[in-house]
Amino acid sequence: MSDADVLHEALLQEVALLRPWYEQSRQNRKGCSAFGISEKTPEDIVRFLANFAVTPQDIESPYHDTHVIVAFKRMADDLRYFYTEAAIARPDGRGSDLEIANWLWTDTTLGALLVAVRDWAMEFDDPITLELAQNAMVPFHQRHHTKHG
Amino acid sequence: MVKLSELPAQHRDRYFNAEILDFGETPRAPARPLSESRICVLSTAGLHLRGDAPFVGYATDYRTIPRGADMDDLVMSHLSTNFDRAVRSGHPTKWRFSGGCLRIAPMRHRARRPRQSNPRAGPARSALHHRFSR
Repeated sequence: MSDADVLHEALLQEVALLRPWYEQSRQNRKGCSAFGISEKTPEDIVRFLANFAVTPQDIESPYHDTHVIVAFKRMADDLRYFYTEAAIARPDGRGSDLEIANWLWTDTTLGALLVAVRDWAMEFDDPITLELAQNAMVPFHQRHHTKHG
Repeated sequence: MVKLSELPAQHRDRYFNAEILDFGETPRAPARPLSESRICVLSTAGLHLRGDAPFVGYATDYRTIPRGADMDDLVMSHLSTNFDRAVRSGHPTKWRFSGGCLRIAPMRHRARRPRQSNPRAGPARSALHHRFSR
């Protein structure tokens, strides 16, 4: 398996494990969910993220007139909403927003991938990529995971 | 919402020292009684209806949310990852009250040694290493 395939499988597994909790969470809020800004399914998103993480400069934006790093950001945000809403429903003691964020950014493949892409983007010679990396890829309270802080 | 205490000093100082326009006592338009007024709430939270074009960086445009909109159709495409904190408000044990002011307990981060990376490699290698080497 290629690196992209390994990442893809790991992300798919996480999505599959979290989906029942996401559905429970959505049901708890009477159907309301923040997931959906990308208009992609979680499965579509993880395929894109896995490919982007391996060969970011070879990936084209799936959106018309949208920079590929903006497309990455939009789909990454959407999948984080999916993970976060799933975690809210789990009765395992992740009671606060910070604890949920710590779980996502420390213990999940998605978190590791997003940190790795941010580390790469901080050293990439493209102003849009660099600006998003500096300001909008990893929240302040999780930047201790990153290479550049 | 991210707390000021969690921001890097540079950002915190910028917000503290930002210039705030002073309009004095002059209203921008003659005020009518509330019962005769139409109310519009403006928000910079990046909220919009599902299916609207998401907001992008430095956006100066807007989306309208009609009064009868279904809450299930609202999504948020604010660029800042720091707004994740708005998903659920802080756990009570993270907060304490002092002198009538809400104070925030300091966060405890696990210290990590910066990972070494090959700048020529794609980001996936370190992601895989991070995930599967524990």
